[in-house]
Amino acid sequence: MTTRHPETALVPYVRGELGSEEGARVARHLEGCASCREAADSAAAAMRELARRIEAVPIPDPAIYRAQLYRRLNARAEPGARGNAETRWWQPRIVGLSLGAFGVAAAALMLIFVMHQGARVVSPPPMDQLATQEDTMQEAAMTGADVGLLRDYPMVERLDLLENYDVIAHLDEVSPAPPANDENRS
Amino acid sequence: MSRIRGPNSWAEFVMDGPVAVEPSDEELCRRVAERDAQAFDLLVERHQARAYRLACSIVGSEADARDVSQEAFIRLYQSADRFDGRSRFSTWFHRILVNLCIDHQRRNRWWRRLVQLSAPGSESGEPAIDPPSAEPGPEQDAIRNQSIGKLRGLLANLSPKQRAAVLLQVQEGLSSREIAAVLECSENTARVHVHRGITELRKALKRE
Repeated sequence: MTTRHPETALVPYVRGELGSEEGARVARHLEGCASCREAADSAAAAMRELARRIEAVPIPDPAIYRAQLYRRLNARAEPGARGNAETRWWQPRIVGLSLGAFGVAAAALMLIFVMHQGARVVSPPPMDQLATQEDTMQEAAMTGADVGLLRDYPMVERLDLLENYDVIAHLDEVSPAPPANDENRS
Repeated sequence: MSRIRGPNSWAEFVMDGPVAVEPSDEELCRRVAERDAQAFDLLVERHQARAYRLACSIVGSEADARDVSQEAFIRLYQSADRFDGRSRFSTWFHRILVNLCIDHQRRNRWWRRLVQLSAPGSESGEPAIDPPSAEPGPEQDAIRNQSIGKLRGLLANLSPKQRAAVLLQVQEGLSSREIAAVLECSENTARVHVHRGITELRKALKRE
C-alpha cells in the first residue's frame, strides 16, 4: 500500500477530472486506505452542501441590477468622472493614509533610535575597577610587539615616537643616559 | 431537432427550417470592444446571476457582492479590447471578478477600515446604491440575510484564494487547470487551495 496520501488529488478524483494514470493510482490507494476514503466522501458531501447553500442565496432583481450597473457605467463615461481614473496621490484619502503611514514610520524609527542609544550607554564600572582598566590599556600600548607594527607603518616610520617605543621596549637593556642626551632628544 | 453546445458558451439551434445561432461569449466580447451596447447587455444578462453569487460567496455581503460584480462588468466593458481570445471568455471574466473580490477583501481588513477617511464610493462620482425599498420587502431581506449568513459561516475560515478556488470548482464547475488559469497559479497550487478550502469546509460542517 502506498504510504503517501494523495490529499490534493482527492477532490479532482471525486470530480472525475484526473487522467487515467493518476486516477488509477488514486483509486488503488483508496482501496487500501480507509482514512482517504473517508476524506474523499466527506469532501464530496461538503461540496454538495456548499453548492446547496450557494443556490439558496437569492439573486437580486435582474432589471434593478442592470439599471444600477448602467447608471454606474454612464457615470464613469461622463467627462470628469473619477470612478475609474487611476488613483492620484493628491486624493484626500491617499494623502491621509500617507501622512498616517509616515507618522507611524517616523515614530517607529525614533523608538528604534532611542532603544539603540539606550543599548549603547554602558553603565560606568565600579571605581575600584577603573584603575585596573586604565593600567591594562597602558600596558597594551607599551608592549614591544606594538613597536614592530609601528615600524612597518611608513607614515610613522621616522617619528621620534618610534625611538621612544624602542627605548620602552628595551628598558631593561638601556643604561642610564647622561642628562645632556635627554635634553637633545626632547 | 435541436442541438445545444454548452450551457453557457454558445447555443446553436438547428431547426428544421432556418438556422438560429446565438453568438458565443467570445464573439459578444469582441463586439463589446467595438462598443456594441446590445452585445454588452446580452453578456450581462447571461452572467449577472452567477457573477453575483460568486461575489457574494467570496465577499460575504449582499451589498458588496452587488458592488463588486457590477464593477467586474464595468471592467469588462472598459477592457473588452484586451481580451485576445487565447483563453475562454469565462476564464478571463472570472479572473477579473475574482481579483476584484480578493482586492475587496484586502481593502476591507479591519485596520484599513479604521484609517478609512471617507465613506466608500463617496469620491467616485457614482450614484449611490438604490435604497432597499426598490427590492422585495423585509421578509425577502430576512431570507436573503439568513442564506448569506449560512454561506458565510461555512466559508468563514477560508482565505480569499481558497474561497475563490473552492467556489470556482463547486459553483462554476471549473477544473483544477481552469482554476489555475483564473488565479494565475500552477495547477498544483490550485489543487492545494481547493484541498485546504475543502478541509476547512469539512471542519465547519462538523462544528455546526
